[in-house]
Amino acid sequence: MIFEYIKFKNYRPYYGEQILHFRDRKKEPSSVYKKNIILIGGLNGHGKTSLINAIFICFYGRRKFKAKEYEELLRNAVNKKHLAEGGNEGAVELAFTDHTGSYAIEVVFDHRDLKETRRIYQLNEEMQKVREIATTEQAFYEFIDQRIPMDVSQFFIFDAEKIRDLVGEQDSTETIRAIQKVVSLELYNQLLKDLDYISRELARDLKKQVKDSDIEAILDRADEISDKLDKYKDEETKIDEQLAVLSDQVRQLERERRQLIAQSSATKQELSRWIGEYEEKVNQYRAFLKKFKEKELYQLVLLPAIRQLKQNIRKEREYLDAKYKEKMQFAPYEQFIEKLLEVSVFPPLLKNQKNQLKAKGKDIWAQLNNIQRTLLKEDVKVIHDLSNKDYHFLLQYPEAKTQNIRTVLEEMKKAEDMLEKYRAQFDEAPDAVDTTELDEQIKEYHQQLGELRQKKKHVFSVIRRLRDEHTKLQREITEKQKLRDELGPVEQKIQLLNKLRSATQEFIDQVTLLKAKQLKLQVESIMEQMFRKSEFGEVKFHPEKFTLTIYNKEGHEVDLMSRSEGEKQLIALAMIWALTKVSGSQIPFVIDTPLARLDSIHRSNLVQHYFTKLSDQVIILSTDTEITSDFYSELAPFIEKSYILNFDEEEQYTKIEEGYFFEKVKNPWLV
Amino acid sequence: MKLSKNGFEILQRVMAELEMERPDVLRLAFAKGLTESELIQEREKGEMANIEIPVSVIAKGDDIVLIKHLLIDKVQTQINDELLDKLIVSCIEQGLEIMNEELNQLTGADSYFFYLLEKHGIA
Repeated sequence: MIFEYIKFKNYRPYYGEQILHFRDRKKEPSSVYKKNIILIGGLNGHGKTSLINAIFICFYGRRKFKAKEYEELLRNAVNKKHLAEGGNEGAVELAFTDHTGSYAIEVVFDHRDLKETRRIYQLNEEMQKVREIATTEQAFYEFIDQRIPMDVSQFFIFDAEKIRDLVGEQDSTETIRAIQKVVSLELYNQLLKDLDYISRELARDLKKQVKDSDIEAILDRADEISDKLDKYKDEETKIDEQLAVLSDQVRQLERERRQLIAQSSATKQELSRWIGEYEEKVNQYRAFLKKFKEKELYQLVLLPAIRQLKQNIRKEREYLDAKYKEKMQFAPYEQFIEKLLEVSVFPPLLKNQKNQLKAKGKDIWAQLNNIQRTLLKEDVKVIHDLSNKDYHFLLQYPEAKTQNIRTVLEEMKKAEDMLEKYRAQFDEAPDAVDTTELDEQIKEYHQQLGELRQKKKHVFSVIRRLRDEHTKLQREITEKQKLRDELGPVEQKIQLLNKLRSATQEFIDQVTLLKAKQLKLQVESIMEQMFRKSEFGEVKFHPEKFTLTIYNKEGHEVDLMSRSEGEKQLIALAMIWALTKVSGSQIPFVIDTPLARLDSIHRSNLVQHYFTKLSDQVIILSTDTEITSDFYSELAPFIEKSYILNFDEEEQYTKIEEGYFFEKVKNPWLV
Repeated sequence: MKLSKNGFEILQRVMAELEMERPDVLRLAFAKGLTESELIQEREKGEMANIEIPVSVIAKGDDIVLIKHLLIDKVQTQINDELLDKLIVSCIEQGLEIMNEELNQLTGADSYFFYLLEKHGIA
């Protein structure tokens, strides 16, 4: 992925419309230097952080921020000068290109309602908007997460000063999960989950599958049980009484247990309840959508045609009715004129003359008898040959009603996200308070209840089955036959799926090992290049945890936490670089204040060996003291574009200008 | 009825894209073909997919009356049962072609389901 441009429109310090191009689309490829660096300079408070936040907002929206942070962001999103002039809207537009095409994300902030609106556009080669993309907000986030997952964005868009914390946090669950996402392991794990899901569905199908012998068995069983019907009815009454007593007791115990659990927060039980609830929700949404797709989607597509049809058949019917009515009104005349024209006269009338008489006579007849002949306004071609029943059926054909599917989709995505979140929390949640005793008791009661209910169910089903024995059995037989045909060879499918699953598992294991090995080699090689002293020996990556251990030349483990801040920063950067190389995907880097804490030799190493090789696009944000003029000249051959964010004290807003500090020094305007 | 090989491939593609079952996609394709084609043309003879699909997936019971008269409205002439079957298949094939073209112009960020909802004023 490559960033194309970011456009500010009365956003934070940027007044009016200002654009920052990250790529020189006309550039000739250089054979000597890979021009991959975009250098953006700005003094403190001139808009660097606003730029980084704008990228986060476009990509991740409010998910990336804490609630309070985002509220603050919304409140200050619109440029002050613009507000003072009576304006109300500010906007950011970020464009990027990846293997599937070019896109622009536009986020508009409304100051009055403190809300944002997001639109996504497809761009053509010239970076012009072609059309708006049809998607929900949640689905768009998913699209971005497939490219730069939100929890790994910290590895690509970061404050270099803070990134050194990664060294200390490398074995935290979040970091490990994020690293797995970068190297795409998450994706494979998702594949495994999907396969499990299909497997469960198939198992359910297998349960539904019916054999011929089942059908006979139903008949036999029905006969057998009909004799015992009276006995079962007595039993049912008894069971009902017992059920009522036991249910009360269980409810009491469960209440006690809930109170106990409520005292300790977010325990496994609680999480499992939430998971259950959200699973239920997600299932309901899925079922709703499935039903919509099955029943209503095509009806809604057909709706205009159905409405047109109704209109047309009504018109035809009106025409036919009018024609019939007119025919009836002229019936006596037709009879009269027929007879009259049969009378022979001399000289005999020609056919043409007879027709004229007939037509003129009709007019006179209409006049004398006051017949309105305006019923047949236009000639209608009758093509629908409809019986009365069919006519009314079509005319009253129910029209599908539009529902708010967009909301359902958004809600479903949200519920799925929550489900995933709770599932992740579940793995790490502390065990609950001790409710063993109560649990045992409840379990026992539940068992008894279960047995009773089972019995009742059995009895009930027997009674019902006997009642409509023949009709139901007949229907069951045909339905089962149909089901069997539809399901196809389920066993075979399951067998194949199992094979696929174990192959996938093995693939994941192997890929994990391979990626860990690659990470180790990459970290080793980059550290060798970047560090002044070569005191480090072997690097080890633990494939199951994805953590890093560095050994010194003597083979002793190096305590990373005791290194200097500068060194920690370099180690963290080495890890990030290794990650990007192993991930195999091209992701742009945005690095804020990268050099502040480093000495000149390390800085030089960083520029020579790091920035220029990191990725196809490295956007460096810096203040004037960080990159000295020596340094700037070292970096210059690799720079594709450079900008300076300059706050104009007089006009009170930031102007984006091409060039960098050291180019500007000669500019009298700036001096 | 039998679909053309090409039509069958598109059918599979749409099923995957919309996560819908075959009969539902066939009905949708029929609806799209009927409402969006300029005219319904009898399809050219080509290679057929090796799978038989009952015409009844498009309409069962009384609904066949609706389908028949929608088609009469479309072709503006009376039709017999043999022609009806042929027109239904043509409609499906043309609907599948339309959906294929729609899919081709979508990007990775689009959802086809959503595209349909918006295009047909359903969302």
